[in-house]
Amino acid sequence: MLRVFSFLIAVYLLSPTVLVAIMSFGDAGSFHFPPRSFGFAVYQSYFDSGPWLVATYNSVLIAILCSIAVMVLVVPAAMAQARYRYRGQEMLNTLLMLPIIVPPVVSAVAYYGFLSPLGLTSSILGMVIAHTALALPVTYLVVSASMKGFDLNLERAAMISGASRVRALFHVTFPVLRPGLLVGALFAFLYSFNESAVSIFIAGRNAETLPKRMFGSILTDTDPVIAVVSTLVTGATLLGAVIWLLAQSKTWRSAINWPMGTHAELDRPTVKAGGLV
Amino acid sequence: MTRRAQKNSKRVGAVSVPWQLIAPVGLFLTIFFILPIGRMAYLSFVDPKFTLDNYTHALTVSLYASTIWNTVSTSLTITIVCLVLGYPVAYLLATRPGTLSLVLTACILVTFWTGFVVRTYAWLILLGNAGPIASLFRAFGVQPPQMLFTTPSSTLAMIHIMLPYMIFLLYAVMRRIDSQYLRAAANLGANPFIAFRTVFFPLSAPGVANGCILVFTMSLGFFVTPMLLGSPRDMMISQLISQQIEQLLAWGFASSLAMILLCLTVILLLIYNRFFGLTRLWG
Amino acid sequence: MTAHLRVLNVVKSYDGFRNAVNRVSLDVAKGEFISLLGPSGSGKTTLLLMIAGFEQPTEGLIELDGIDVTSTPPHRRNMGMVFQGYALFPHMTVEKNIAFPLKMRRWSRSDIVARVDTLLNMIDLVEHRDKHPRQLSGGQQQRVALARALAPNPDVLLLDEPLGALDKNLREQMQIELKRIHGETGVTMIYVTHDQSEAMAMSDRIAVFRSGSISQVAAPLEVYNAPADRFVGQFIGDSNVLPLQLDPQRPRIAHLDGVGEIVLSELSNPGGLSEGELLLRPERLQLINGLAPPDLNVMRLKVKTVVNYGDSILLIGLLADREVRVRLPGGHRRFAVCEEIEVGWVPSDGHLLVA
Repeated sequence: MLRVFSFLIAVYLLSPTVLVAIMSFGDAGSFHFPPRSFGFAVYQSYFDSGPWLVATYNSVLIAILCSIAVMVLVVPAAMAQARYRYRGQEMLNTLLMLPIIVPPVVSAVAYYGFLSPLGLTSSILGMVIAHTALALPVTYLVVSASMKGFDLNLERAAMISGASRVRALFHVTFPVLRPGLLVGALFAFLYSFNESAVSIFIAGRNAETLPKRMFGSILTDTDPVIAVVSTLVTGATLLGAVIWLLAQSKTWRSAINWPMGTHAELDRPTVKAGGLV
Repeated sequence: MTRRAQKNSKRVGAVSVPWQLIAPVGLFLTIFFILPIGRMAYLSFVDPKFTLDNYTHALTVSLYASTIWNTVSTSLTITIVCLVLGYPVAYLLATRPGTLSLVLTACILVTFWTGFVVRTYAWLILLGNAGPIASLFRAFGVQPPQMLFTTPSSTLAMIHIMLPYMIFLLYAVMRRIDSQYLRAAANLGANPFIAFRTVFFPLSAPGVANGCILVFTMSLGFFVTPMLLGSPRDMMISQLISQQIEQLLAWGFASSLAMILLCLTVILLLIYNRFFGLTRLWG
Repeated sequence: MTAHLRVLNVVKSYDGFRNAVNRVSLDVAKGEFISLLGPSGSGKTTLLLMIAGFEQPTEGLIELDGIDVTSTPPHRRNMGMVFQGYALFPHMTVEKNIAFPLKMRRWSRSDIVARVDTLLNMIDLVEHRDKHPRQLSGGQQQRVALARALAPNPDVLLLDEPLGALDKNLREQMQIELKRIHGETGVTMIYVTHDQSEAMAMSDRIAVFRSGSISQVAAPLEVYNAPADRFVGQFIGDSNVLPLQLDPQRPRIAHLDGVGEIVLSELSNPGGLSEGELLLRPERLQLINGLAPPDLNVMRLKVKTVVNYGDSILLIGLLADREVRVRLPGGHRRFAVCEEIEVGWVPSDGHLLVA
């Protein structure tokens, strides 16, 4: 019974993606579902369209810049939080979480009002700034989870073996943390790539990203190009996930805890009632 | 042989703050997040002139007040439905790993990766005049009702969007519940229903709290879906804010609405913090 | 003679109130195998971390071969360390793990290869050289950790409860292995453990820790037979502690409740006190059938519980409402509850504890 219900929910959750994918192969110029004919016409529209390709380029560029900026800011902070205990630590944690607490539309208004006088609306820089701030919490959670699971003895072992603090970081800490760091960067990338609310307000014409363009086109376009974009993006993400999972099978999971884990894994329970491990 | 007592003040783990590590992110957030919000708050009191008018306007004019109320009640609906639908699924994922769980997890992850705009778009097609549901109505010879641009359509789509979050948060707590407790309960004579009610469910309560709080606050401030699918008459706060800025350039008023929304969210989180501790949310 | 490693009046406080290590001094001789033994929280691991350089003493001094190394960073101390959990670098093969310290010290390529080969042979893992740590069993990982620590020929080898994660049989095997390697290499070893039988088995000397201080430092048999205080006596091995009344006029006689007068060992030093405690090891109590030999102290016990382990029998009897534990060699003799038996001990087997 439970299984049937869950299966239905799975179908329910997946159907938009599937529906949209089907639409992308349908006929151009129509929103009829199921499509009356099938083909690549809509894909053609996408690849022929200058604005759509520019939007794609913008999305990728901004997402890459954003994830670099986020990682540069987050990694040292996560290290500080995982290894030291100092006054104001709680406060920093809260500060780091704020962008996700604040509702998107509120951030949107705030950034619009902030970037306008600086002339940074409708600019790549403005978008990168806003996206970086907004992607910080999620990335921080991922990175600090992998850092918390990092066995400090590994660094000590490196040091007693003759490596200075810095050498230990490069020879041991970062290589071992690499999967967690990559996941963090990926989260930042995806967050920026999919960010809609704030982008809709501040992207303007010069920094139009895919979500913004999709939003604008939803009610004006005659072609279901959105379906194509969505399918391409989902496809790319799936491909990336598959590649990554394959690469992950031969890694050093013994040294770090995963924030999300592989859901099917039978983890040993870590919380007993009362909070003791 | 000399003896020398060495007083060494460098202690690991003492109060020294690792400035170089945390300054970059702290500074960045202060300038590029706190400041914009602060400026917005400032505007809400200052535009068009130094006054509290924006707020009184927002809270007393029935149109706006009902918008706020509408937002809250819709968010509540969404939260409850997500909880009811999501709990069994999370339960399955946490207690019965297997192929179905893998498939389910994959579905949930894929939904996470699909952007909000796209998911909203899918509902637009589903509920649209040329969509399958309308066709179904026509197949029975009935004129399909107006499904789009109503509160139900926006709510339905938002449930769909929020559901994965609810499932994920419930699952995160559930999977740490030691199955030995349930076995112990069975051993002591409890049938599966009682075991669930008295053992599993209470232990899953933090997950329920997490999920509800997050879905609720996300729904309050959600933007894309209400904008695209929502009713222009029964607006949610985000629609109202957007309208005020884009169409009326009423900065002060829009800012005050945003501030009200922000305060609502913060109050909710503070209440949650009082009972559960916010740090629970981010482990 | 200068000690190889000297710890002098070392204090460690994390919060300014409580001392995790409370003015500890210890001299370790070259080539010695010394165990730091104590319950958790007794400060033994903290001291080890300070010796390694991962923690700084709040006060005090650590010297290696007469040179002050208190503020020398870990990577310059030329020590090796085996961690609880082994801390093997998961992204490196066994070979690369062992080679790491040599690489850090910039040994030549050929020297590294030769040394790693020697070590792999020593730990008998040559065929596993290209494996990753997670492909090895616990015991194998442990050996790799040991090899890595010994690779650069360190002055001192530090071990932090390295055998804790192994099952009993494997642990005993590894204890013998470690002892053997100690014999072969002659490196000074400082071994932290909470397992007293482990410390007894392997050490030249044991330093017993309690609440941040050392209660006693001595060879295992001395710690076992002549513990400095009640804590040490009860922490090491099984024990009976029975209250005694002493007579300052007659230093070798004492009064034991329920028994009467008993003879104390020659080494007892009552120091003019009127009260003390008798430490009796359960296995030193002999079952008496028939007439008791005149040189033994004898007590009558009422049998309460008997546990037969096969190779030994634990018998818990009552002496005037006090429980006394007796360990007898395995055998077929059966005991009935409430049966009265006599056990005796040679005076030199009883140890006097005074406050």
